[in-house]
Amino acid sequence: MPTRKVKRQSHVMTASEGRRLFERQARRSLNMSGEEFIAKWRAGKFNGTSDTPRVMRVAMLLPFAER
Amino acid sequence: MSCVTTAQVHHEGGYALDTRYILLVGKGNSFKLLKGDNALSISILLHYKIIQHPTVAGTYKIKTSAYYYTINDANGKELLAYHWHPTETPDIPYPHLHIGDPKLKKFHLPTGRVSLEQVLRLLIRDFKVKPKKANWEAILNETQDLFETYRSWH
Repeated sequence: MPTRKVKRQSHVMTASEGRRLFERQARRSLNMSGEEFIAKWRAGKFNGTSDTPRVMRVAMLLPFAER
Repeated sequence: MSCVTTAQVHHEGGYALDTRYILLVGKGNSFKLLKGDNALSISILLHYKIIQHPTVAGTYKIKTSAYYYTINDANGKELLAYHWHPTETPDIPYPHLHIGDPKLKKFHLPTGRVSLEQVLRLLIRDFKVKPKKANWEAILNETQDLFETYRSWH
Protein backbone atom coordinates (compact mmCIF):
# COMPACT_ATOMS: atom_id res chain seq x y z
CA MET A 1 0.00 0.00 0.00
CA PRO A 2 1.46 3.40 -0.92
CA THR A 3 2.26 5.59 2.05
CA ARG A 4 1.17 9.21 2.19
CA LYS A 5 3.60 11.70 3.64
CA VAL A 6 1.84 13.76 6.30
CA LYS A 7 3.28 17.15 7.17
CA ARG A 8 3.47 17.79 10.88
CA GLN A 9 1.45 20.81 11.95
CA SER A 10 4.19 22.20 14.14
CA HIS A 11 7.95 22.29 14.16
CA VAL A 12 10.28 23.00 17.07
CA MET A 13 12.97 25.35 15.85
CA THR A 14 16.54 24.92 16.94
CA ALA A 15 18.59 27.91 18.07
CA SER A 16 20.60 27.82 14.84
CA GLU A 17 17.42 27.75 12.71
CA GLY A 18 16.24 30.81 14.62
CA ARG A 19 19.50 32.67 14.09
CA ARG A 20 19.46 31.83 10.37
CA LEU A 21 15.91 33.14 10.05
CA PHE A 22 16.86 36.38 11.81
CA GLU A 23 19.86 36.84 9.50
CA ARG A 24 17.80 36.08 6.38
CA GLN A 25 15.05 38.52 7.33
CA ALA A 26 17.52 41.31 8.08
CA ARG A 27 19.05 40.88 4.62
CA ARG A 28 15.73 40.46 2.82
CA SER A 29 13.75 43.18 4.58
CA LEU A 30 16.44 45.80 5.19
CA ASN A 31 19.39 44.76 3.04
CA MET A 32 21.75 44.54 5.98
CA SER A 33 23.34 41.78 8.02
CA GLY A 34 21.86 40.66 11.30
CA GLU A 35 24.91 41.99 13.11
CA GLU A 36 24.46 45.39 11.47
CA PHE A 37 20.79 45.43 12.43
CA ILE A 38 21.57 44.66 16.07
CA ALA A 39 24.19 47.40 16.23
CA LYS A 40 21.82 49.97 14.70
CA TRP A 41 18.88 48.87 16.81
CA ARG A 42 20.88 49.11 20.05
CA ALA A 43 22.25 52.49 19.02
CA GLY A 44 18.71 53.77 18.46
CA LYS A 45 19.38 54.38 14.76
CA PHE A 46 15.87 53.30 13.85
CA ASN A 47 14.30 55.89 16.14
CA GLY A 48 11.50 57.65 14.37
CA THR A 49 11.22 54.93 11.78
CA SER A 50 11.50 52.00 14.15
CA ASP A 51 7.94 50.87 14.01
CA THR A 52 7.42 50.18 10.34
CA PRO A 53 6.33 46.64 9.52
CA ARG A 54 9.60 46.05 7.67
CA VAL A 55 11.83 47.02 10.61
CA MET A 56 9.61 45.32 13.16
CA ARG A 57 9.63 42.14 11.12
CA VAL A 58 13.33 41.87 11.94
CA ALA A 59 13.11 43.34 15.45
CA MET A 60 10.54 40.75 16.48
CA LEU A 61 13.09 38.05 15.64
CA LEU A 62 15.78 39.60 17.86
CA PRO A 63 15.28 37.02 20.64
CA PHE A 64 16.57 34.41 18.18
CA ALA A 65 19.81 36.33 17.85
CA GLU A 66 20.16 36.49 21.62
CA ARG A 67 19.84 32.75 22.25
CA MET B 1 -4.45 28.43 11.55
CA SER B 2 -5.63 25.30 9.77
CA CYS B 3 -8.77 27.22 8.73
CA VAL B 4 -6.73 29.07 6.09
CA THR B 5 -3.41 27.28 5.57
CA THR B 6 -1.42 24.09 5.87
CA ALA B 7 1.73 26.11 6.65
CA GLN B 8 3.57 24.82 9.69
CA VAL B 9 3.62 26.53 13.05
CA HIS B 10 7.23 26.99 14.17
CA HIS B 11 8.03 27.55 17.82
CA GLU B 12 10.94 27.27 20.16
CA GLY B 13 9.55 24.50 22.29
CA GLY B 14 10.85 25.79 25.62
CA TYR B 15 8.97 25.50 28.89
CA ALA B 16 10.96 27.79 31.20
CA LEU B 17 8.73 30.12 33.19
CA ASP B 18 8.66 33.85 32.41
CA THR B 19 10.92 33.41 29.41
CA ARG B 20 10.07 35.08 26.12
CA TYR B 21 9.61 32.60 23.27
CA ILE B 22 8.75 33.11 19.62
CA LEU B 23 6.01 31.40 17.64
CA LEU B 24 5.64 32.03 13.91
CA VAL B 25 3.81 30.53 10.97
CA GLY B 26 5.36 29.36 7.71
CA LYS B 27 8.97 28.74 6.85
CA GLY B 28 10.57 32.16 6.58
CA ASN B 29 7.77 33.61 8.71
CA SER B 30 5.20 34.13 5.98
CA PHE B 31 2.90 32.12 3.80
CA LYS B 32 0.94 32.77 0.64
CA LEU B 33 -2.81 32.99 0.32
CA LEU B 34 -4.75 33.32 -2.91
CA LYS B 35 -3.22 33.40 -6.37
CA GLY B 36 -3.00 35.70 -9.38
CA ASP B 37 -3.83 39.39 -9.14
CA ASN B 38 -5.38 38.95 -5.70
CA ALA B 39 -2.42 37.06 -4.25
CA LEU B 40 -1.60 37.84 -0.64
CA SER B 41 0.92 36.77 1.91
CA ILE B 42 0.72 37.10 5.65
CA SER B 43 3.30 37.15 8.41
CA ILE B 44 2.17 35.92 11.79
CA LEU B 45 4.52 36.09 14.73
CA LEU B 46 3.89 36.11 18.47
CA HIS B 47 6.06 36.42 21.53
CA TYR B 48 4.76 34.48 24.49
CA LYS B 49 5.68 33.47 28.01
CA ILE B 50 4.58 30.59 30.18
CA ILE B 51 3.55 32.02 33.53
CA GLN B 52 2.02 30.79 36.74
CA HIS B 53 -1.70 31.38 36.61
CA PRO B 54 -2.38 34.57 38.61
CA THR B 55 -5.47 33.23 40.36
CA VAL B 56 -5.53 29.43 40.08
CA ALA B 57 -2.74 28.00 42.23
CA GLY B 58 -0.64 25.25 40.71
CA THR B 59 -1.64 25.95 37.13
CA TYR B 60 0.05 27.76 34.28
CA LYS B 61 -1.01 29.81 31.31
CA ILE B 62 0.42 31.21 28.11
CA LYS B 63 0.70 34.97 28.11
CA THR B 64 1.14 36.80 24.82
CA SER B 65 3.79 39.51 25.17
CA ALA B 66 3.76 40.81 21.58
CA TYR B 67 2.07 40.13 18.27
CA TYR B 68 2.78 40.94 14.65
CA TYR B 69 0.16 40.25 11.97
CA THR B 70 1.03 41.79 8.61
CA ILE B 71 -0.88 41.26 5.37
CA ASN B 72 1.10 41.89 2.16
CA ASP B 73 0.05 42.07 -1.49
CA ALA B 74 1.44 39.91 -4.30
CA ASN B 75 4.58 42.08 -4.50
CA GLY B 76 5.28 41.89 -0.79
CA LYS B 77 4.01 45.45 -0.19
CA GLU B 78 2.37 45.86 3.20
CA LEU B 79 -1.38 46.38 2.95
CA LEU B 80 -2.12 46.49 6.65
CA ALA B 81 -0.52 45.36 9.85
CA TYR B 82 -1.87 44.78 13.34
CA HIS B 83 0.97 45.15 15.82
CA TRP B 84 1.57 45.17 19.54
CA HIS B 85 5.18 45.03 20.75
CA PRO B 86 5.55 47.11 23.93
CA THR B 87 9.02 45.80 24.78
CA GLU B 88 10.51 46.65 21.40
CA THR B 89 8.89 50.11 21.19
CA PRO B 90 8.22 51.37 24.73
CA ASP B 91 7.15 54.72 23.29
CA ILE B 92 4.29 52.93 21.47
CA PRO B 93 3.07 50.46 24.10
CA TYR B 94 -0.47 50.13 22.78
CA PRO B 95 -1.88 47.82 20.08
CA HIS B 96 -2.05 49.61 16.74
CA LEU B 97 -2.76 49.32 13.05
CA HIS B 98 -0.46 50.30 10.19
CA ILE B 99 -1.99 51.12 6.82
CA GLY B 100 0.15 50.47 3.73
CA ASP B 101 -0.72 53.81 2.14
CA PRO B 102 2.60 55.75 1.94
CA LYS B 103 1.03 58.80 3.62
CA LEU B 104 -0.12 56.74 6.59
CA LYS B 105 2.59 54.11 6.80
CA LYS B 106 4.31 55.54 9.86
CA PHE B 107 1.06 56.25 11.69
CA HIS B 108 0.11 54.06 14.63
CA LEU B 109 -3.65 53.91 14.58
CA PRO B 110 -4.74 52.74 18.04
CA THR B 111 -6.77 49.56 18.29
CA GLY B 112 -7.93 47.24 21.03
CA ARG B 113 -6.18 43.94 21.40
CA VAL B 114 -6.57 42.01 18.14
CA SER B 115 -6.80 38.25 18.27
CA LEU B 116 -5.46 35.87 15.67
CA GLU B 117 -9.02 34.64 15.14
CA GLN B 118 -10.12 38.15 14.17
CA VAL B 119 -7.34 38.36 11.59
CA LEU B 120 -8.23 34.96 10.14
CA ARG B 121 -11.90 36.02 9.89
CA LEU B 122 -10.82 39.20 8.11
CA LEU B 123 -8.88 37.13 5.59
CA ILE B 124 -11.82 34.86 4.88
CA ARG B 125 -14.66 37.38 4.92
CA ASP B 126 -13.09 40.47 3.36
CA PHE B 127 -10.01 39.29 1.47
CA LYS B 128 -11.97 36.28 0.18
CA VAL B 129 -9.42 33.68 1.20
CA LYS B 130 -10.99 30.29 0.67
CA PRO B 131 -11.33 28.50 4.02
CA LYS B 132 -9.77 25.07 4.25
CA LYS B 133 -12.42 23.84 6.64
CA ALA B 134 -16.18 23.99 6.13
CA ASN B 135 -16.73 24.62 9.85
CA TRP B 136 -14.20 27.45 10.06
CA GLU B 137 -16.65 29.80 11.76
CA ALA B 138 -17.37 27.33 14.56
CA ILE B 139 -13.64 26.65 15.03
CA LEU B 140 -12.74 30.33 15.19
CA ASN B 141 -15.66 31.12 17.49
CA GLU B 142 -14.63 28.36 19.87
CA THR B 143 -10.98 29.40 20.07
CA GLN B 144 -11.97 33.09 20.27
CA ASP B 145 -14.19 32.27 23.24
CA LEU B 146 -11.30 30.53 24.98
CA PHE B 147 -9.04 33.48 24.24
CA GLU B 148 -11.59 35.92 25.67
CA THR B 149 -12.13 33.78 28.75
CA TYR B 150 -8.47 33.54 29.69
CA ARG B 151 -6.94 36.80 28.41
CA SER B 152 -5.67 39.13 31.09
CA TRP B 153 -6.30 42.39 29.19
CA HIS B 154 -8.09 43.76 26.14
